[in-house]
Amino acid sequence: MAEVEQRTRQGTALSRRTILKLAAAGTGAAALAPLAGEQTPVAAQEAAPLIIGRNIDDVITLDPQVAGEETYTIVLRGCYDTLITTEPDDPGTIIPWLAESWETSDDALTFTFTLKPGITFASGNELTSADFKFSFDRLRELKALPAYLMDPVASVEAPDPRTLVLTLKAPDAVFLTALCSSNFSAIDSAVAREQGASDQPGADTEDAAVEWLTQNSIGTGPYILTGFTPKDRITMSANPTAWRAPAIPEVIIQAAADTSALKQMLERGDVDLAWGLLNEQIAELRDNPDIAVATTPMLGFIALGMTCDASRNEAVANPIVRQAIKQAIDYDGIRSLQEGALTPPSLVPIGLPGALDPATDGFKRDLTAVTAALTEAGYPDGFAATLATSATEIIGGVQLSLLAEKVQADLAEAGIDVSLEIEDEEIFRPKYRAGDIDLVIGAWYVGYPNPFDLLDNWGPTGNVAINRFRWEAPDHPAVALLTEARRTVDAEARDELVREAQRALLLDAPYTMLIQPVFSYPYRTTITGLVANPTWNFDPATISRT
Amino acid sequence: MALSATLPRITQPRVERRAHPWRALRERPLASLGAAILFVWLMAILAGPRIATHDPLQQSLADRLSPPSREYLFGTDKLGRDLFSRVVYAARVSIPVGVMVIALAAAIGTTLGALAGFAGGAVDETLMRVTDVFLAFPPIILALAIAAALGPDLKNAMLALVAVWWPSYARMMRGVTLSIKQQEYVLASVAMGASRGRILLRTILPNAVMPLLVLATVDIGGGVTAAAALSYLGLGVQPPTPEWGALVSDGAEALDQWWLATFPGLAILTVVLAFNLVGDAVQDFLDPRLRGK
Repeated sequence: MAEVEQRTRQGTALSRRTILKLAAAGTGAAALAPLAGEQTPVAAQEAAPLIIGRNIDDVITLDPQVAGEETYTIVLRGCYDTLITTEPDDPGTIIPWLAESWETSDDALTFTFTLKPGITFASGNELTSADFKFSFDRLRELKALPAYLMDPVASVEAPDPRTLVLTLKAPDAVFLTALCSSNFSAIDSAVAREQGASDQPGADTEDAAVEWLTQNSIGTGPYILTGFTPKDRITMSANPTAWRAPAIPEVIIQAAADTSALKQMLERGDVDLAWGLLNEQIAELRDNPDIAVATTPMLGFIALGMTCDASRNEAVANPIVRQAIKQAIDYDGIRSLQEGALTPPSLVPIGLPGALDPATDGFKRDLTAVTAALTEAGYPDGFAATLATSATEIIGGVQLSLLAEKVQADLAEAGIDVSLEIEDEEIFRPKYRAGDIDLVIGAWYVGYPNPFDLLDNWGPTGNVAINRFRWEAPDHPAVALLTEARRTVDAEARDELVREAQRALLLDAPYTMLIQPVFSYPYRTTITGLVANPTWNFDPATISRT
Repeated sequence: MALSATLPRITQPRVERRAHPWRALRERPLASLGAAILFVWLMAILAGPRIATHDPLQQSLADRLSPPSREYLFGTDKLGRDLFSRVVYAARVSIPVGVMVIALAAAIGTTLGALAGFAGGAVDETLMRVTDVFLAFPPIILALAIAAALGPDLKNAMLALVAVWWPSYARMMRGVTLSIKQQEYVLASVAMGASRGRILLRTILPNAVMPLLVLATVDIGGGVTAAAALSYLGLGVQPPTPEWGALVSDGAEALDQWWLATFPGLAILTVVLAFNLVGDAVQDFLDPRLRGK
């Protein structure tokens, strides 16, 4: 899904803090449980589980119709399947997955999918189109964060066990790509119902399966979820009935105390791959002959968001001031924090169709213009504001709290006195979601490889713009342009509309993109088959031992 | 009043000022070393801006994570800030915070402890049960919980540390008060009709100064460490203000950049060591039973 922004906390601060807090509660031992018990003798190397080192503090649920954040991506990729997906190494190409073929009606409103025959769930139940209908209806009715994915859909029908018909409310050039999002996975409707799942209106209060689906999986994927211990580990075992068998039958996602511990675990061989290390740590690992690094550009951004709510901060809510802030940031300096990083001018990350050209459309630092603008807005001596971010979030190796210090220094040079609110995820995240911020650093990357995932959420009518930045601009020129773009089948014309909408957003949107980093996954060369992907990170089932 | 004039003399048995402090220091080379280190850090606090080679907040991304060099004595951090300047400036936060925490805890603990010991009865019971509650928790965990509940901020961190530190002073002071209360010179002033407040302030407190001072000087090192520990965990000083614990925390994430954690760590080490050496000397000096050992 799109809401991958509540993300990783590879950070050290939280881990250390959490451990101490847990210790206070007398459960410290569990958090510090050594990996030793998991060690397999060298002789049994063939059968050794795949151990992924990763801080899993972000996991709230692993229910495919609710899950967001970041760790869930590989779990859903391992345990569930969608109708269609994209080529692992080419996000632009859609390929059949559980559907063997599909047809689009002439009016582009109806999609008819034919399912592959003979696919069964782990329970032994055969996959039918009714399972997809149940899953999609449940996705809509649960009204969780990914529910917006169902907005374009008028109805889901299952006329026969192998046929699924989706009817849209309006022609939508984006919908097929959105269907690749893992939130559109099929769950075993029979088992789900037994566990209290519901696809009926009112499911948001009546559905009782979310908790159960955080510990168990009922998909068609190569793995079955066998356990989840918060902040410690997630375990998956091979699904005996899977249509694509995994190379390594057991997967353990093991949390480390902090990023340096994680790095050491990788160096010692305690984990096969480390996900969520800092940039600097990954750079150091490149010299290690036993370690290789898989990379893929992030299809998203880390952004500076600004409130439009004058009752929160009158200065920041002033559009002239917000534009001045955009010009006060040292984008070149921020980009230099990571080799290969980019600065997308607006919402569409570089690499997706419709991105603006940083050379011509991007903001440039201009302190003279900032001073002039601040004077014009009535703040010749600057003003004070708070800047909130997560203490532990690391996106593509870039620590958000470090960016906050950089932005603080940049704005100080413009006379803006920024005080930082770098807080634990459980304090920061609710504040951010409620829009209880002056300035904020947050990140987002696509749940399906299409710019509309970002435009829908961050555009003038998106939930991020409205709820977090309190931006009220229903008549913004970008709204009409994006609505038109969605209906435009011709790719070039659509991209031009998307670009035009972004140029309009550059003038007054309450955010500016700081950096588009590179995702890196350092792994030991004892494994192979790791394909980095910008939406699901990587597929554990394709990894094998050398 | 003639009577009151005689009272201070009654308190005389407490300290025998035989040895001169300076001579005491000379006789203890380690204590002199400690004093010298403290003097250096005092200079760093007072003349920080003159000693620092760079603006501790000035970022220079082109030079980020440079190892120690002639330009950057202690190297630079992730945002290209000069670590030497940051360590020097951090002394202005870390040391005063440690000292203030102990001073406040001692002030509160002493007052309450003396009250409990002197008043006895229900007051004593209540106060001592309160200290029991505080002492029942491991101090750093309790401080963490309080600081986390109050929110990450330097003042809150100090408050949390004072909250966990005062009970030990209260305990100590109560014991001292109880034993002094039975001394003949106290009974004498009671017999002479001195008020309770007067006895507490003029007779008992002055005699409790010695153990108090001993405990406090030995504790200051611990205060500096505890304050740094809270900052290390992100609950103390907030960026960009440099503080030793926070600096070590930054460095702990990048062990290959050894200088990041090493230099602020050494700063904490030297200060705590110095306070402990001096504290030991003070203890020896003020406690005649240990003198010469």
